[in-house]
Amino acid sequence: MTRRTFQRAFTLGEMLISMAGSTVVVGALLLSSMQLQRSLHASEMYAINQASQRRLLDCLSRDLRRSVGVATTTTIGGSGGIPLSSAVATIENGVSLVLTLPGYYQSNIPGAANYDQPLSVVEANNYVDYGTGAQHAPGVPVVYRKQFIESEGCVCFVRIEADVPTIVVENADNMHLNVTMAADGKSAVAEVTYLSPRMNSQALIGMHDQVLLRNIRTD
Amino acid sequence: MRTAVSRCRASALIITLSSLAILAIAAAYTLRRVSPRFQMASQAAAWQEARLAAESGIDVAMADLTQNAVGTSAPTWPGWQQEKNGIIGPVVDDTLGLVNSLLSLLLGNSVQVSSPVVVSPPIFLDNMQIASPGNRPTNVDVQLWALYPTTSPYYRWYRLRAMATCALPPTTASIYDNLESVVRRYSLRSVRPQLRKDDVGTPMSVPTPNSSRVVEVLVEPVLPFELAILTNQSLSLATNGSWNVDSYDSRDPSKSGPGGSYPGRGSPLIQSNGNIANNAGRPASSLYGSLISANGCAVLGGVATNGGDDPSTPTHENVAGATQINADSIRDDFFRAMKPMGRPTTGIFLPPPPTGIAFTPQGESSPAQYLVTGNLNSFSVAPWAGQGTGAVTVMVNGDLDVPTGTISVPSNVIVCIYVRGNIDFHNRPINQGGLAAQLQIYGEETNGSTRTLSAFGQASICAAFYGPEYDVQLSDQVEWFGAVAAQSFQMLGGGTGGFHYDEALGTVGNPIGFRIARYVEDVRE
Repeated sequence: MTRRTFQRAFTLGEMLISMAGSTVVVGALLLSSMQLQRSLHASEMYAINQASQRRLLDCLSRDLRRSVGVATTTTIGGSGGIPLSSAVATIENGVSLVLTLPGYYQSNIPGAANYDQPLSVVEANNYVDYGTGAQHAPGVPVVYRKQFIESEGCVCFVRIEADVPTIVVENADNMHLNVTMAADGKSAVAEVTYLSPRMNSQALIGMHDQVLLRNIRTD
Repeated sequence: MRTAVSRCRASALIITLSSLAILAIAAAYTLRRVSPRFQMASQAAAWQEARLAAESGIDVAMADLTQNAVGTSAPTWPGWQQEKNGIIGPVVDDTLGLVNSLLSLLLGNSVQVSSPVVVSPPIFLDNMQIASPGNRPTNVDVQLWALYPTTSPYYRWYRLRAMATCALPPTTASIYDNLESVVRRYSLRSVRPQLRKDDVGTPMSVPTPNSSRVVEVLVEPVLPFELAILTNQSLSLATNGSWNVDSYDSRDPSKSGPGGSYPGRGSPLIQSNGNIANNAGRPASSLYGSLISANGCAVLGGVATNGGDDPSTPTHENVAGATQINADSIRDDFFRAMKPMGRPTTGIFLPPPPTGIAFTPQGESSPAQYLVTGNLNSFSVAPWAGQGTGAVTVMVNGDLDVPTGTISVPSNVIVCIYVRGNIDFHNRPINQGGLAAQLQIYGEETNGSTRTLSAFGQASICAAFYGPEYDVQLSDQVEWFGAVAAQSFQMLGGGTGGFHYDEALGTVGNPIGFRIARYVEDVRE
């Protein structure tokens, strides 16, 4: 009597079924992984854009709040600004926003010993303000501009205070800044928008801040 | 019977675990990259809250300044401290009077002169707790300096500086984005040394990581005579004639007549700063409508009300009879709180001189103070024989009634009169040939009683009046040189009279409030 040997191999049918099942499982896994990766990437991009959006908005609002002049210009140096009142300014395509901050610091040269030291308080024409001697300090221009920065290799939003530029947002091609000044010139709405990074989505994601100018405008 | 055990049964489990592991790794990797970005939102919120808290500190200081600027209530400076001889203690004690007393205390013997403006040592609020929307621990330190731009002890500004520190989420160990740290300048492991000079008194208790912001403002006094006419309830100009409102500046020969007098109607020296305003608002059932009755009078200056102008129409509903008022100078966003001015409560009170004898002035820094327990009629003041300007303060418990004679003030004396009763100038000339700033009349608190200031006929009054609870009633052809701040103002008639605001009054008198003249955020500290 011979002992019967067990068959250890799969039958063709089993193989086909298992391969088909495996393909479905692995395919689903790959697909979901890709979708998940894409979604998470979009989340990351969203978070990056939102942080940039918030930073630009906060930085601009801080300057708007204390400014004594709000103007737009198309000149490189920020000169020849036209006071902004009851109008919308879109800060791109060569248009810059020029805010005039009240003179407060002894020096505007970064690194100078008195760079962070405030001026004395002086009186002139029955009015008290920061200055030297009997003169009130002149305003300090701050320019907001969207431009290509060669060192960064991308379009950036820059803030230029007393000719010293600071990058506020990098990779800003897709980001837009609008400033709407109220009719009375005493308040403004700053709005930063960008297109959703989600593929095939054209949703515009916006964030805005309404700012009351604390100082009386002198422009 | 033995059964065979298959060794291929665990393959599904392995595949499942592998799949889960791959997905978990992908998710973890991405979350690791994304979560700091979202954490930045929380950090930015703390940065915003720090600014709000700093502005709250400024508001608290402003409220305390306003509380103590005018009025008869006892001064309250809760929580304020000052350092004297290296010891920190409360800034006020039982002997402290109004703001002036505080300032004398502030000034003491250690006035800093860092510029033409005299600056006092600071007083401060230490580690004030501010409730933040995010329930983050927040501390605010506020410093206050008094500024004296002129030699007058009454004309003073203030410098307020508030530093607020708000805690960041405790998990914040680093800033993910360098651009973010440039703008927001968080303190992660220790507070920046530059901030320590603003952390006065006891060091703040907010743990690191945290965010600090510093707001500084210059505060200017709101003075009682900044406007030609200011009322709380109603304002009605002349009903006939050529009566008008205009201005001149007695300090400037190019804007005034000889000796700083009114240059005369039609003169090219006449100015257009005769601003008038009314605080009263419209009822909720009728938001738009008249709040000032101009009655066709010319007003060379701004005209302002507290609402009443319908923005959907080109006309100014808030001013009736504005035919001779420049439409561009009419606005409806005005309000200025007025509280009655309290009389001096310290010093020596002299009895009034006998009838016919002049009041005797003293130096401006310590005016001669007279207390009239009854009524006061016409009087005169002797010239000041000392240097500078002489001053007299007269407190009248009864009425100020001038049916005959006049009130005569020498050119080198300032007279302040505090009146509790009615004021009636009849048809008399008052302070003729003088300047309005030399005769300041304050109508005190009436405790609900009706009080009036009245004049008629061809009365010619050169004075500044501040009485938020007084009704000013002028009639016929009364001509007023100076300013009026009252509960109501009514000019019945008009004729050839007029109201001529002396712009020199803009810097005269004790403050009735304070407003921010300059706002700065110190972003480099």
